[in-house]
Amino acid sequence: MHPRMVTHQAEGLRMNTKDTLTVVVSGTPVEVKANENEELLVIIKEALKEAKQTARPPEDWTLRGSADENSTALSPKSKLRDYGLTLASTLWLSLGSGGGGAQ
Amino acid sequence: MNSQSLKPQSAEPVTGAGSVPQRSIEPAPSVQRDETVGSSDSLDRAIAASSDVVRRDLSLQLVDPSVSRAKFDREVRNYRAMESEYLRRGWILLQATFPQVAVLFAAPQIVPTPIILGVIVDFTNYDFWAASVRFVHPFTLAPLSLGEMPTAFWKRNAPPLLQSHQDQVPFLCVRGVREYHNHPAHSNDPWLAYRGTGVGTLYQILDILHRHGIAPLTGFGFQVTSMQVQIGLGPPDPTKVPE
Repeated sequence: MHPRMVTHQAEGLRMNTKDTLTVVVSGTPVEVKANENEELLVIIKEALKEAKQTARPPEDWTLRGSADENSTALSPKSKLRDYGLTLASTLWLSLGSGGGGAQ
Repeated sequence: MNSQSLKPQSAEPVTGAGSVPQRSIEPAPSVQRDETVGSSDSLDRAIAASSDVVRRDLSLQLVDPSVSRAKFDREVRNYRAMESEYLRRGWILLQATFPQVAVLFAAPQIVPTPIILGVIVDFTNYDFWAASVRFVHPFTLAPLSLGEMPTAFWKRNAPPLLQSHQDQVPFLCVRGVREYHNHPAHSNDPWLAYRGTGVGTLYQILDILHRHGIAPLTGFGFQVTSMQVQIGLGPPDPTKVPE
């Protein structure tokens, strides 16, 4: 077997056994323990706790499946699998922009 | 299609970058200038010359520079951790030298892809002070006046996030940005109420600039006047302007 194939298989095994999820909280990437069947609100709370961003409630934050501005906000009551996401995905938690004369 | 429609409504006649005073003020001796990313004396000089107002603040170093420096390094480290994603969005980190980060914004959704503008984010006294944001020309790094801004940073059902004083120096009117909190109209909304809450990080500032100023752009536009054709950026897609 070609050595590259072995490497790819090992990577695949690692992905299947991954039990953490990367969440980028206002630019800070953190790893949180998660599974694909729990509510995203749990993941949001864990990520905020891990990033030490507990001053603002989870409702102030918007969770997206990618940094892409066109990606839809994920409902905190949904689950990862509802959006076809896995633990290999990276989620993005961001705050809105206050200012511009209308807050 | 009128490229002039991209200009802020309140824009006065273009005064040019040369109207911004260019003074050479050295940083306070206590400020350690240590390169984090890249190495170019000429680039350093260009960035320093472009941010006269910011550098004036350096003489007011209030926070132990090592504290600000550690927080600056954290911001840059976080950026580097996700840099490939940011590059995909069109963000190009030109240089990060304490206390300033220079970033260029391209609009990859447009082909051929234009580089729209540059910003210099200054972390002097961070995070006792909020970070300062200055708009600069992407190639000369000269400060842009309000009339030279290629985008207004639109906000749906609200005034644009780009504002200016009588001196025509544009600033980002957003929480977490020093110019916003220092503005007399926002004296009841102090930075210290937001410090450490996820507001005003390097990523959050760049994300706001991207979402409101770059992502809504959809292409080029042209205008024909007096047998002359002018090509510029077209109007934004209203559906892509965030709330």
